[in-house]
Amino acid sequence: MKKKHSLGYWLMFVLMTLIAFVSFFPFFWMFLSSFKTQSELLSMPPTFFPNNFTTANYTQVFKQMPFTRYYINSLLTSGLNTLVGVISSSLIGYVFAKYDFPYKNVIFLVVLACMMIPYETLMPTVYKMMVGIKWTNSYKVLTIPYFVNIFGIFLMRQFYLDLPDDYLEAAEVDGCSQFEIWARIAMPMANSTTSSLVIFLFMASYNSFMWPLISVDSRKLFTLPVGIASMIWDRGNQYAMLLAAASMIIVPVCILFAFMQRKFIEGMTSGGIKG
Amino acid sequence: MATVTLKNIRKVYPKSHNTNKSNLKETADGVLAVDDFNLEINDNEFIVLVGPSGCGKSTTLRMVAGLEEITGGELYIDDVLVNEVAPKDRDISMVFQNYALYPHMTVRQNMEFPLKVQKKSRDYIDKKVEEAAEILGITEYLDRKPKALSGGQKQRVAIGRAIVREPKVLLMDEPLSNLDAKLRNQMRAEILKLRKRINTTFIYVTHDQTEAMTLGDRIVIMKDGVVQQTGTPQEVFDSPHNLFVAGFIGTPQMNFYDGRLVEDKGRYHVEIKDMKVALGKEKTERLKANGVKSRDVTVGVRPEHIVLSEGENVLRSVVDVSEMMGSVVHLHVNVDDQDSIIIVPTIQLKDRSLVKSGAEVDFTFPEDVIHLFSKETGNNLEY
Repeated sequence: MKKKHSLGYWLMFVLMTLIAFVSFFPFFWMFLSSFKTQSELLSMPPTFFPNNFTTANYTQVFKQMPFTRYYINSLLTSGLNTLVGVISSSLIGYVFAKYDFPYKNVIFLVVLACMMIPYETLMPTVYKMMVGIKWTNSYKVLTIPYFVNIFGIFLMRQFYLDLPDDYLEAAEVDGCSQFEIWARIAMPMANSTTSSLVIFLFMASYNSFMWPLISVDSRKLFTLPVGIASMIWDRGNQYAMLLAAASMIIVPVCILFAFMQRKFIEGMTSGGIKG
Repeated sequence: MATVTLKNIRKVYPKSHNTNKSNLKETADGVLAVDDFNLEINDNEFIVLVGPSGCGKSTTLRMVAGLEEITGGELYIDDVLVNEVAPKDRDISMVFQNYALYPHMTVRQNMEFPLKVQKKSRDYIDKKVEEAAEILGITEYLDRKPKALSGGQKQRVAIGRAIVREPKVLLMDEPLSNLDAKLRNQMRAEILKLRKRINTTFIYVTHDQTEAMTLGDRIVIMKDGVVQQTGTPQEVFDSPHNLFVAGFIGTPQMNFYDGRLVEDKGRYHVEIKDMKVALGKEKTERLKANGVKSRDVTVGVRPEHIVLSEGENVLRSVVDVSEMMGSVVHLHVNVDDQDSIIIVPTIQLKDRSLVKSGAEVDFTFPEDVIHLFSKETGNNLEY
């Protein structure tokens, strides 16, 4: 029997479609416009589909700046930051959730309090520290400060708090060491929350602009956001080229999200539906 | 197979620990969860720890497993002191109440896990898993994830994971309490069969006295962290050492009446209201040996030991409700505002009107089924 949907269902359907369209439209426009010439892009009235389809913007991006280098820098640093960030968040969150030690709650409160300080206010201090230990202008400065993420710790701790101790005790009786319990039982069970964290950490590092901007001078170390900004400083607002670069930049994020979408949504909703 | 010895085992939780058990005794060090637990478990024996929730039975089991620190006393497995030995080095396995199957692994992976951790060879692992799966009848589910299994199947897998290692001691923490009544009976029988097929020492925790009576070689009855009695099921049923054990073991529970024990020229009799019951030789000798004099007592009689009777020397009661159980009838009667249960075999119930509410029923009980408990301590005066 065909299920009849209520008016509310259809209203919701229309609303969701509208939201999806509004969210997706800028990306679609960006992608189409990356095939327009600069003059067509700035013409009035504006065009939606390109009149003179051109791929020159894409080739120019690679010619006018070391785009591949920026891309590799971004992928490498974001990849490493995400990998280490996920492991550290999971380990630290696990310890806060499952171990008892003196002043645990006070320490956790201090850690949480750090989340309330805007990063911009910490930046000068961290920068001075990096200068002091001679880490500026290196891959170290683009990675190591990202290795510990407070939100990540908080997210993982919340998951592990809900994880019944029986699983961990079963693993302990089965012969696992404390590290093995985390690595072989707790961490795989946190799969969906970890997927959310992977996306979150990757985006945070991949989109990061201010920190790479102030901590790195050498163009060889520029990441994509800084690289694109440098293109504007060097050559002014070449919007068509900028849109071509932006269209290429979003590819890894789209791929990551496509792969992790199901787990990501599970992770975001798991707190609410868990029995 | 192994012997397990618990000597003066004690568990105290610090006061900050959230035990949620208001019945437990508080000491200067904290909340006393288990006190002075002594037990020698023989090789290949099936021991059942039984008691109401919060009595310390699971805590004791967890101390044997190494999941709970031992505050005081000594724990030996095969004469080796294991107080400070990590769970993985005790050569024990444990089945948890809620199965604790790893949800990201298949049944096979779950069962393999302890052997993989021990880095056993692939052939050995496969052989052991296949064997255990066959014993438990779960071969066809080996490639399923736990979420695709029923409660009974999950519990079999949990048992399978515990037996593949061939542990010295197999610990079970209320393994059947999450199953429905029918499945519980079935699994109980399977545990008995399993016990015959594998040579290991079992320590089993339950709050269900039927499980305890049917499974255990010996049962340990606990209350408020203290062992009340240890013995075979028959011993604890026939000779309960105190009021708690008497009330806890047996379904429906034992009836208790206020009475007076009278000693007269070396012979004893019990007076309950207008009824007098003279005690037999064996009871008399035991009471004499304990130097028991005339005193007020609590008299305990099991519902199945009560006999309907007519005449003068009886207790008179009125039926509140009756439950027809098929072969027997449970009569809930009222003796001067005191509730009692009488179990009457249906075949002996000649007068069917007796089972109706408001019917008057007279009853008595044979001398040798009476249990006499001190009013002050609750202890059985014979032991």
